[in-house]
Amino acid sequence: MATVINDTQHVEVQARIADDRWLMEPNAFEALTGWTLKPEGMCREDVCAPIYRKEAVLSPDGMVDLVEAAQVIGMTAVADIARRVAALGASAAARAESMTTLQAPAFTLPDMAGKPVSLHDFDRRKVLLLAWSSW
Amino acid sequence: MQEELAGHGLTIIAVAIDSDLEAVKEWAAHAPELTIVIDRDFTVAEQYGIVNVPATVWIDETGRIVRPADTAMADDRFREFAHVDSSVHHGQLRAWVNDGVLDLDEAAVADLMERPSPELQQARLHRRIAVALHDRGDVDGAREHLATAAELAPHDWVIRRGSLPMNDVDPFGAQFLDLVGVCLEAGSPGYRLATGREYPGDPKPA
Repeated sequence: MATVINDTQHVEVQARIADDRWLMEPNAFEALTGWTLKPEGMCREDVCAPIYRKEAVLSPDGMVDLVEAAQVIGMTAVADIARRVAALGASAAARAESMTTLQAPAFTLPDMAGKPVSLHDFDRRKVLLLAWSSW
Repeated sequence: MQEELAGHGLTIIAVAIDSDLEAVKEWAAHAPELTIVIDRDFTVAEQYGIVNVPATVWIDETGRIVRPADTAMADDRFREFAHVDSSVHHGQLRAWVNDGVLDLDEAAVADLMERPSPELQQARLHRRIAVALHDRGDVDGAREHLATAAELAPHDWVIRRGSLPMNDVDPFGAQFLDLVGVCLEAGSPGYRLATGREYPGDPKPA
């Protein structure tokens, strides 16, 4: 098993490490990202992103390269192959686009007692996010 | 502030951009009246373009960002160091909550959002891996990823300052002050909006 850290959680996934690549079965990649490998590319709902660099994105036996495939679907992935931990997040372009809409991104984070708190819990109120830290 | 403005429809969510739960709990104990959540992977910081702390973002009743992340001090404790007059932000906040007054239009807010570079996004992912490795007790692994993150985003305050504790460095010690110098020299003062910012040498109010 291996761990992928996405924007909301740590997900245990099946990954095959071969030739310094983090390879996943297409259905495992789909479970992780919501994107399905089809003949026309990586698809979600009615959108398909073509795969221009097939050799980079897919292994000869049809496995999906996480780091390469992330770019196809507008995301960024960093993989620590040896330690079997990867992180998957938005691409810079996707983040920039989301910021341009000025729509406040939804989030759910634990409070001090471990209870999840969502931005949506405060719908129809003005909210001040106060970012702070101990450092 | 929470007590004063809560009756006028304001909720304050204090997001700790911090991977150290124990340290956060210690600080949180001083503000039991606040809703405090912890963002160990800095995901909210990333989504809202928060590049330094302390900072605030304002979100209106319809879920739109009406004021982008900007330095905001709770009081003037750090004024000598940070040169920020906390009363400026407080005044603007009261005007918004009580009277709906905003000093930035949508185009200005959108322009001021801190859009990341591809390198910064990569640095943020390396930092997430570092936190996971640190949790497992793999301190060397964590430091490798923090070092890569620092190379990718040498002037991002959240990445650089936020990594000091995991590197076992005093977050308010000499290395922090070196870092402040490096960031300022590189033209990365922490935020573009700079509400209440005074520049050293400006006349101090009486």
